[in-house]
Amino acid sequence: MTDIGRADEPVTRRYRIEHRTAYRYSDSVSASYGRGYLRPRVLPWQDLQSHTLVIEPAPSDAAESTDVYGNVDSYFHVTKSHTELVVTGVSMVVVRRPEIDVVAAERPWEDARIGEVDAEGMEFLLASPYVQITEEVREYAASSFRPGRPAMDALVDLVRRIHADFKYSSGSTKVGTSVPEILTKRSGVCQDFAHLMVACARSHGLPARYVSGYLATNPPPGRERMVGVDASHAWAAVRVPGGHWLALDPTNDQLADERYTTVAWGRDYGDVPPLRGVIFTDAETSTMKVAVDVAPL
Amino acid sequence: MTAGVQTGADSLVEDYLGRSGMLPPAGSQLRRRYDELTGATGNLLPGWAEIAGGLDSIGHAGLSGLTSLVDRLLEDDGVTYTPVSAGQRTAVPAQRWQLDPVPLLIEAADWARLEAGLLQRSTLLDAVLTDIYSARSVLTSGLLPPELVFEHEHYLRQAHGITIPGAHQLFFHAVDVCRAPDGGFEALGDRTQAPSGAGYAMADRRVVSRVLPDLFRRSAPRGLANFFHSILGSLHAVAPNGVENPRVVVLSPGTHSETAFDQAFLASLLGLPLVESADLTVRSGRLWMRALGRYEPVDVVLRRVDAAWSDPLDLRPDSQLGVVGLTEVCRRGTVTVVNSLGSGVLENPGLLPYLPALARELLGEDLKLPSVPTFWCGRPAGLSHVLAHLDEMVLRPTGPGSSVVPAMLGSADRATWRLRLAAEPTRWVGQQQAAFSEAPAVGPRGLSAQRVGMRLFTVAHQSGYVAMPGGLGRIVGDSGVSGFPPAAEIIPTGPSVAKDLWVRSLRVEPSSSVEPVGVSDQDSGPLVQPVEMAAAASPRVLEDLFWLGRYAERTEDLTRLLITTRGLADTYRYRRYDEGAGSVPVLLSAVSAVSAAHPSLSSAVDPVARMRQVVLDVDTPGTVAQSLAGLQETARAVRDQLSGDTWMVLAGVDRAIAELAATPDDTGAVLQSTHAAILSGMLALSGLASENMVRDPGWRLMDIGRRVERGQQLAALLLATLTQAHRGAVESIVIESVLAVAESGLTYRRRYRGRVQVGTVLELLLLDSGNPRSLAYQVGLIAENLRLLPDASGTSRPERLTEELAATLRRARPAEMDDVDASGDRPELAQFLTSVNEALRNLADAVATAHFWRSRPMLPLGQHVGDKVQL
Repeated sequence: MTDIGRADEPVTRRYRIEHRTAYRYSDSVSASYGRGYLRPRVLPWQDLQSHTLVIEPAPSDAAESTDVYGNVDSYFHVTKSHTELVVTGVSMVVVRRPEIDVVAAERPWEDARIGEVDAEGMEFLLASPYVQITEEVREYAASSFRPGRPAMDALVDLVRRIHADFKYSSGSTKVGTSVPEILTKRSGVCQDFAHLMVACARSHGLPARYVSGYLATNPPPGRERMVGVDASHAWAAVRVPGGHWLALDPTNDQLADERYTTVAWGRDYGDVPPLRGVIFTDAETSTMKVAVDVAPL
Repeated sequence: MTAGVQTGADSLVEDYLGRSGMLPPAGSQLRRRYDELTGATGNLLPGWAEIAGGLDSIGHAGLSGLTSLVDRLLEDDGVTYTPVSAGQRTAVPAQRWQLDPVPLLIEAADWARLEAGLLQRSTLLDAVLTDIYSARSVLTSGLLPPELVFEHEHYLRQAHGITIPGAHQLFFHAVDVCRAPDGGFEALGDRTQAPSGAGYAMADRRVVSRVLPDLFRRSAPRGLANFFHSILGSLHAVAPNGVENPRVVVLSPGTHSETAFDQAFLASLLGLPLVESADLTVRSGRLWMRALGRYEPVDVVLRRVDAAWSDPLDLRPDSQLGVVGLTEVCRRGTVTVVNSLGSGVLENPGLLPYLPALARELLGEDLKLPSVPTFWCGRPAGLSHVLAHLDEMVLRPTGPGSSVVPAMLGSADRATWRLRLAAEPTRWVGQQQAAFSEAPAVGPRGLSAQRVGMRLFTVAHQSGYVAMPGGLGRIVGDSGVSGFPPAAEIIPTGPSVAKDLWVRSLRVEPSSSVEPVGVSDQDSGPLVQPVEMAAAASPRVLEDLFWLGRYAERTEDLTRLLITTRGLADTYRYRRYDEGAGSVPVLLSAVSAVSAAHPSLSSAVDPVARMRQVVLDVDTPGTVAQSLAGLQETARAVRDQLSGDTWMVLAGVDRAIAELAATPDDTGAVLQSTHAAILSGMLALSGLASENMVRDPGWRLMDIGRRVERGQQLAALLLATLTQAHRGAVESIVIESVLAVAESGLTYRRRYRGRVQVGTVLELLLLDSGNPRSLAYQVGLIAENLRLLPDASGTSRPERLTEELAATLRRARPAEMDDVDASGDRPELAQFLTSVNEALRNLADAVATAHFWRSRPMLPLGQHVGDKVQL
């Protein structure tokens, strides 16, 4: 576990986040329908000062709505024929370091298991399309969840183990790799580690959700921050004793702090993909370029 | 002796009542079944006494006639069921619906009880559905275990925020019901996704009322039409706020869907357009129907596509049956879809054990229609009960999938199931095997006792629900679990036999013939304004009708050619060395050319056998059988556009073909009568088209299809027969045959006084615009149809091509086309006919481009997360 709670760091950060996705097609597309989860959530530790979503060509219809988890999603329909579609979200956010109820988090992890009547907990405890809870998952998680261990300890240990046991391997898997596959391959990217983390927590009776968002990266010492090298990011949040959701990033072996901008959460990736959609085209090939820039202000 | 039953050996009902097996075998654990005829009394119930009298007057001898009459009427009405083989998406041909002639009766007092239970059950499930997709208090308060909802395949998180206008979220509700040994009604389960069967119930009623007219009049069961009125009224009532004369459509997965008939028949009963996903599109925040290059707004969708498949954007991305953006416009409230997206969550049998408590909590009442005892394995008590009583249970999955009867399994399989239940307990319920009541059905020898169940229907109406006073009776399969199509039902054990369900009225109505749905005998609120809906103008419908026209004409023309050719072959069969015998191979080669199927026909050893193949072989393109298959398929896809008589005609043709197929060593007599039956069927279809159909764009496209096809068939016929000069008598026999095939012999003989010349034949068949069989006539009608389409411009490509073809015909010189060159060919004629054929093909393509919308392939937008992408 690295650099949590260093007293000399500022605990409030402000970012301008630009998330640009460009699709290029080998033939014209007559219509594109899209659904995006690109608008950061408003949270006790996160303000959204502004958000714009620009779609090129301009859509003939666009709307925002709130989903079952309180995320704001956007719908668009481009009817102008196009060979390139660019979706750019620009958000100004202020993120504070989330406060952790240390006393509650030090209670045994078993106290966080869901109670007799707990609909919210159940929604995030059951297996979901991308989060299979197998015997292998349970076994892998077990050594972190020793009886009576403080919840915070157990989760921090789990994050550390995933970070140590699994190789970050860029582009090593497709979107939507299953948890058993990740366990076998011992490698993956942020989405896979978030799913694995969620599966481990659920396998021991702890409600856990998948969080989609952005991570501000610090440039190596003495170097300029490079624009656009960032990517969208994903991590996990686990409900700890007392009912708080503790956000942890197994990819970087740390707690999610003021560097993490939360966009949306759900049971797994499938509930909150940054962008998905349907196009009508004869095009046989397409390319996608994604550029994310999290600029501290 | 029981009242109403004839004594003596020939009493069907006495025999039935005296049947063995009334009592369970000694030592059996099964309780005695409720007997529908006698109830608990041992005597015939009053309503059944009437039916018993009717059956006895039919007697043993009349019973089998009754069954074949039912089958025939079902064929004539085109009542079909389309089996779907699990896991496969291959097309399976539609089968005739199975119906037992003996109705299933419910006494008025029993119905009153049952109806109250049904209405309460609908009200209760409505309250649960509303809550699940809004406050979720039934989940947070512990009334319903949340896993039953959250884990269910038909619970759609995307449906949160969608609200149906009006008092109810549950629109249609069906309950599968059986009777316990004490005669009490029990629910086996609920259908809420997109309940099927109401159309079948009406179709059954129409058949049984014709088969047993006297009994039907005397018994006077309650009519079904008012229920469909209520549906229509309710569909209008749930339109988005402020819409005065809402446009309502029935969204079907298409003709290969299991209950395609039910969907199409319901649409016709309600007078609503039957649409498929290709007919609809979401634009500018609302739902539209494509119509001749325009878009017509749609306000209400009666959904028969399962919710998860109804929107590839927000629901299953692999669905080809949905409308992209449908969820979005539902959320915005610009369209109402019923049943609402996500309503299928109520089909979970795991809810059944919780209904009594929910009824008390949500309605303050006890549950009036109890469920067959059901235990959810997701709680330890439920699981241990199911494991302890495994052999009495039917194991039903909480979500989609097949049920299992452990008592029918070997001990190893039972052990496997025990482990499976323990491993995934939340996914299973155990339902006590229902006893089912017994009622008479036509069996191989008189009446036989069959276990019966029923599907009953309600629809939301104003402040409450309305129940159909009748329903879909069914004979339960031998496995002891009910098997009613479609497969979503309790347990699919293949198609089962239906029974018409008669609900006795309290007062005896003097006469209740089958009322047409379109005419209400009851004031059910303000009259609904008719809505001009360009139903016949959806590109998909236009295309189906175009092909309907083509297939019908293709069948007719090929049949005419076969009739003439067979006649000729017959004439010369024993006169092979006669001069005229040379005409037979010419006509046979024409059959090959026109059907494009049997190139070796002219050299066939036995032409009659080969011609049978041209009629029967459904797997070869160009045969009569295949054209008829195309005809049936397109007709089913536009059932709501066609006269009901269409099915009678098609059934007649089918029977003729079946007869031919059943006589493999026919030497020509059956072939001849089959040809005649096909021809008369096709003539009846064109009569229906010309006399019974409104001249809307759909009719015009159908007629264009017919005209294009007739022109092409004619050109192909002439190419195959007249572009080569034949010697001596052969020439005139060929010409006369051609005239006969083209149905112009009489006119020709009258006009040209018997002189046979190719030039004059061409004049009559190609250029005479007064001859309804001529090419010029077809081109004239195509031009007129195109001109009368609402979007005609006068300069569209189809119109220009038609004009060019007309000009080509004007320039044609029959006398020159008659010229024969040194090698005996008529090159001018060949060239002309080839160019006509080409022009007609181009014209058909242009019509398709202009009027039949083709979606470009639908692909997913690439996805990404972190630095991983998926295109």
